[in-house]
Amino acid sequence: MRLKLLAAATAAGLCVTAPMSAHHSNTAMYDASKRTVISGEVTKVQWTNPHSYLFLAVKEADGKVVNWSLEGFPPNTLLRTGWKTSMIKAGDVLKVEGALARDGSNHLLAREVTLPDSQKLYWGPER
Amino acid sequence: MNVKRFSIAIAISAIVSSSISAQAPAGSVPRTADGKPDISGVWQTGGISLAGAQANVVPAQAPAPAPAPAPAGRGAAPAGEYAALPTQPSLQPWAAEKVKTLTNKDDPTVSCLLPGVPRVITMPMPFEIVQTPKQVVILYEAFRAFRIIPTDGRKQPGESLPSFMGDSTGHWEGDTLVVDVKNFNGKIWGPGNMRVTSEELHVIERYTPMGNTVAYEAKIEDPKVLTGPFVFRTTMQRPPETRVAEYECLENNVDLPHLVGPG
Repeated sequence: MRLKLLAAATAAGLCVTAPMSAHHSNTAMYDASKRTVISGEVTKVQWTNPHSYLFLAVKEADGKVVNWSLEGFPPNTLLRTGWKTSMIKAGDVLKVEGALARDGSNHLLAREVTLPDSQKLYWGPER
Repeated sequence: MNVKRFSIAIAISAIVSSSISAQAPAGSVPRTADGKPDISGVWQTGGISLAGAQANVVPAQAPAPAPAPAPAGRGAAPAGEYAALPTQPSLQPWAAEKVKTLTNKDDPTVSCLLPGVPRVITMPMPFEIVQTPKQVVILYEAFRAFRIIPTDGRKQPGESLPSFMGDSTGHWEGDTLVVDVKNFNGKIWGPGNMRVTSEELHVIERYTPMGNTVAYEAKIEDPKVLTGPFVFRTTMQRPPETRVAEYECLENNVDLPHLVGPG
């Protein structure tokens, strides 16, 4: 019980402090309450700073192909937490869950990525 | 990380923070040849990579995503040298009005500018301390920042212009490294909601080793911006084995036009 109270109190304290963001605020760009799942073919992978990006060609219901940019953690962070650059290459088909951009552009804060071998990893934070 | 592990981690953080003022047992802190606490090596105060080498691998049966580790020590009971100080900034009226006009696009780090002190230590990336009898050098992965801190009584040589990271000079008070930082340029944000600083910003950092962590306190003074000083605290932890890597923020900084929301 004491631990629960302590965790709650500390969590409350965290709410008034700056988020642990290395760069820009994710809530400024993405709406964590508006989430979607997309599937498509990888056209490009950018292991770049300040953020990593996957680019996905997604075929819509009418057959039109739309390009999506999927933002994630900085590359150093990804490589420290389970990712290897060899895990994704152009042509792979991925399923990605994430938060939609507030401005309606085809940007996603990508959370869960399902690789062709069904392995699942987080590409970015939930919010 | 499940709730139990999260609670335990928070509890440990709180215990560390609440005992900053207590003298750590001499034997529990590694020491350099000259008897000073050895705080060299890689540290980190927060971020998902503190949770381990598999932190972004989704467990087979995951009911919920693992939360990123909390910035340790935040929100814990006030303690340490600056126990009497508030933990949140109180802004002068003009500064409070200015903050209302700012958006996340005005954050200097969004444009890849240096985050300043103490904000640099809050970045979710590691930094390495190189310690000699004459100086402490801190190499931050975030924004490729660095600080060279004389600890032998020397002053920084020559004239230096006001800067994002300021001028640092240090000395040891017992087992605590005290670093005085001034000569800031007024272009950085402070910690928390202190989104305004001036060239009168003065930061006094205290690094107190506590076993295998370091309790960090920074007293923030800025008479032009604040109604009084406040204290910022966090805890430096040893991340899983890693090296400080390159972070060239300008390489692919493309999100600015899309930052349209709050936060």
